[in-house]
Amino acid sequence: MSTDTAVRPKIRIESVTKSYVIDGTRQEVLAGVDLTVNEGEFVSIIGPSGCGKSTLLNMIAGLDQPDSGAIILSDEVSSAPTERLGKTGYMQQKDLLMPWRSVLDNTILGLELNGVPRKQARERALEFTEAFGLKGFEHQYPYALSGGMRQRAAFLRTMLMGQDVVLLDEPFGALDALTRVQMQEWLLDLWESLNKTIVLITHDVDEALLLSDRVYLLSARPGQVTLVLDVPLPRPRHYDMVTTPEFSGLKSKLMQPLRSQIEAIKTDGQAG
Amino acid sequence: MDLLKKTTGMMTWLIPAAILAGLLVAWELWVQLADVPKWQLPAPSAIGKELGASRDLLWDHTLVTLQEIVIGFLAALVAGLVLAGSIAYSRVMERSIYPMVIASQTVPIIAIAPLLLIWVGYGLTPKIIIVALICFYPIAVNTVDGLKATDPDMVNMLRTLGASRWQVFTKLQMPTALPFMFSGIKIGVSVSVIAAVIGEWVGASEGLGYLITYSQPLFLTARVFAAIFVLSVMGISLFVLAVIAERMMMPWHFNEKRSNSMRQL
Repeated sequence: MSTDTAVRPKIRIESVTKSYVIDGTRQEVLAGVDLTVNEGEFVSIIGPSGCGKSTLLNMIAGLDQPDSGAIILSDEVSSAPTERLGKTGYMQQKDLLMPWRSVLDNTILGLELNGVPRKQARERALEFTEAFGLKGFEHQYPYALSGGMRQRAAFLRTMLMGQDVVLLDEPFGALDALTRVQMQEWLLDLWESLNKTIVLITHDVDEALLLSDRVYLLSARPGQVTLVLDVPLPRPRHYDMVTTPEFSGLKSKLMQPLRSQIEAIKTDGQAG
Repeated sequence: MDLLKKTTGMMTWLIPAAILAGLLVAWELWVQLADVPKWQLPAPSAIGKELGASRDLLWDHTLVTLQEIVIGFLAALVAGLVLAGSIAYSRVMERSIYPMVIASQTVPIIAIAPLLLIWVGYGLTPKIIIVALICFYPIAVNTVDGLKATDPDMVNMLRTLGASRWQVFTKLQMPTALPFMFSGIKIGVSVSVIAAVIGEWVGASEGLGYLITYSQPLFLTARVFAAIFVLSVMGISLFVLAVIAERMMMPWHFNEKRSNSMRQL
């Protein structure tokens, strides 16, 4: 994907820290995180619950700002959070479809907010409904759709904005196992044809390895990068690869530190 | 299951209808058997006769009361929505106006109705003002709650799509508030009839409320009941109209509810 041209960083995160006041005490959520995502790369961030993964994504999207450190998108020097708003496509675990809009009108929301006339926006969205498995459901309300379809509609809403960088916060977390696998394969196909830079947050080790070029492992709170693992599996990838020895080898490399993280949380919980 | 649905649908209508019919029969029998004088409590049949006999009179007064209600309610709707919008949109407005909106309801309207007569006279205007004063409150308060009931994740999603504060208001807050607004409208419509009657009691020369105060000292009790009957029918009809408008404006709301209850089955 990104091998034919010079590697250009799309997102640079440099020693970012963040703390919140929780129950009256200041708690450090991120303690100096460094992370780079190059153009066209698929990068996953994995870690125990509450390690600040979503905080990190919120900051990249411009919804929040770091206490110290820098977040730099593309080649820009500035990292003001308000300037990052609207520069990335951001998709959360909840599909956040508006129940009063048809599926099609939900997908064009971003275009509409940016002044594209409705008719034109709808035409543009209709070109993609087939690839996103929404054909025939364009004029339904979201309640009529399955969880996977709702998630794909939310994904199309994000994609239609045309941003190069797409942030995915556990987009398949709420789906059943079978649908999740289908969605992972679908995303693999789509990404390989779209040439987007994607950052995915996930709990699922298989998902991270199957989809990514590189996986960042974050520690328990305060979050820090404890492992960066390149995934040299060949592309195009398929779900069958999950059972190959190569995949298992990578998985054990990731599972060991992850397990010790979880152990650390356990003993910490018992002590506290 | 279709049959089950149909029968339960019929049962929901049949049971209250049967209870109502039973009550009317009991009332009729009691008046007939105990020989209650007509000026004290007329039988349902006598009220029915009265409805037919003075239908022209009732119709004229109905039009007056209906006019008061419709104009007053529409004024309340506009005022309630504008107030709710500004309270939800601006902190300053919330701090300054909202306490006054709430305080306005602690003033007994019956007490200020005579003042209105002094200020604006005996015509339609004071009744319209009273209807509006009583109806705007549930509409405003419910709509404020609705405008504030937005999902913070949804707000963040809109911000990452580049939405402005105004766009968040129009694309998210306003549609979210619709079901709340209709709750307020349904309450408002229900009390609007009471408001119009209060307005007419204080001082009027026409309207169903006036007809009641006029007929009562003459012991035209059947006519009082006939007027009350027309007022109830008016109130129920207005409520049904509000429900129809609600369903037309929010088809997604009701389909969603239905599909959820289907899933539970």
